[in-house]
Amino acid sequence: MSALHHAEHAVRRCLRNQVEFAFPSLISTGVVLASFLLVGVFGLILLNLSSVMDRWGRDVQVYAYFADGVGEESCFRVKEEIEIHEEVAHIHYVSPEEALETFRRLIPEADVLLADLDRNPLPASLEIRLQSDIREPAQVAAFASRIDRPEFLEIDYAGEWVSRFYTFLNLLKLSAVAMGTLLGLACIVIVANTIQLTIWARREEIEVLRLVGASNRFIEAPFLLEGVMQGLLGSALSLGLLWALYHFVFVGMQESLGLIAGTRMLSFLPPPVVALFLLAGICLGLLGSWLSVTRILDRLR
Amino acid sequence: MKPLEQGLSRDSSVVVFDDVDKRYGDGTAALRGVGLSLSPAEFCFITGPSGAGKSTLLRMIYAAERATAGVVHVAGHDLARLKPRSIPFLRRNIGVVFQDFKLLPSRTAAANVAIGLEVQGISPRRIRSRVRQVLAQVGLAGRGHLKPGSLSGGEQQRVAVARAIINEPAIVLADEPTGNLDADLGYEIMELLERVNRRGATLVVATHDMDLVHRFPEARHVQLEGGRIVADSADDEDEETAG
Repeated sequence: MSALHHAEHAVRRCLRNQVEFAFPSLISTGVVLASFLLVGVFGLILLNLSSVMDRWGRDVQVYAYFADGVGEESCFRVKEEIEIHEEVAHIHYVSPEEALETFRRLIPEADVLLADLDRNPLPASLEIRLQSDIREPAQVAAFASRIDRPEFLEIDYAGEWVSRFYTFLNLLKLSAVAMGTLLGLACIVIVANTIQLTIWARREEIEVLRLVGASNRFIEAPFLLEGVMQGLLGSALSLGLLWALYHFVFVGMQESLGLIAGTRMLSFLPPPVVALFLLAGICLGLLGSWLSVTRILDRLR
Repeated sequence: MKPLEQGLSRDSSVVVFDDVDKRYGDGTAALRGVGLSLSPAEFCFITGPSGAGKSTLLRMIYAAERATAGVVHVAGHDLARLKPRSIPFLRRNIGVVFQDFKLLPSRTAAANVAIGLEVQGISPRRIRSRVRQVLAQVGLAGRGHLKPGSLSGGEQQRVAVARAIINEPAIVLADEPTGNLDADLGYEIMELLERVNRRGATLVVATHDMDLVHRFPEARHVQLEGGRIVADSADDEDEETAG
């Protein structure tokens, strides 16, 4: 029962601190909110870009164009030779006629241009879809060089572009980690300063509490609780704002983004990440208040 | 922490100072070779000019200061060996009253008095009942809802006394408790403290007001000067008994 009454006193004193020092508490919660919102927006963008990359990775295609003069029989022989590679999920022979047909379908305006030509300029080719575990640019490049042979004029794949995008994504991930770390540290400092302010303003009360036999835990508890509350409130509110942002801005952009990215659906942070967000808020708040409490209460002793 | 009764030293003294020195970092000596023994339910004045070491002596009893040399026993505990985490439990056996009351202005009188029980995790219902009882004991029945700013100096000191005795402590220390009050109000507070003493608490009052000391001739009187005990009425009584 005694522990229950201690907890009750701690909660009551924490709430009183929040009311009496509303402005610094609001500032502190606001900083946590802003930091988490920034990290959240970054995280949301990263998450969706990563999923776009995953989808693209699932459909990695290699196009091998035959040189002029390679007969259809040779083309089918090459197709059979390539088909047996374990990386290949599906292979399709595209004849020059089929290629021209597709070209005409995609670009009807080119008909005038094609009419002036006395022969089909498009080469025969092989469209090779790779297994879903072959996504990395290096793996695709290795496969392309393995299947290369004199019959081919050119082997094309989205290698360099995908590689650049991966590099950009990794850079983005690194920036997110660096930004998250910096903002996390800023949160700790701000929460610590707010709690420090509260402790200084309460130093007479702390002196009296010590005088009447309050244990350190009794004195520290409401301040630690205050840090936890500020962290939790800041991260929870940032999630709420992030959700609103996702709902009204990201989803609004979905159609145009879908065209570019070839994806139909942008997603919000998954539940484990939401839980991690809240946990991070609690931990940062607790760490900030703990730093203050141990430093200042020692000085007031 | 042992209960107070179990912690009494062999000669049943509640407070024992054995050749105690207290020096601060800058070399100032606040106490020099102080030897003092206080029995349960004893009433003792500590007098002396400003800087004589009265407050330091009281602060050492409630473990706010540590002796530089010598031994201080309170309720049988050697304070030099007392772990920091045990100090709160020692202080629950000691009530302290200050010249400036040390009340929290944002709290009502009742809430100020309740602090001593809140820190022990006692239920709010029991706290309310005990606070009412103690406020009545110090003559403030029906005034508990007022904040210190709405109370007179004498009433504020009564609240401070109520806070000091709410735990029924074995020792009550008062550091210049009448310093901010006029003579009549000061006497009233001293009568209140004397009543606490008559109920069994050891009472130690530090003051430089000699008129006040003369109004309680039965109390022991220890005089400090420059950190040394220069006179102790208990020694005089011993000599008279021996003579």
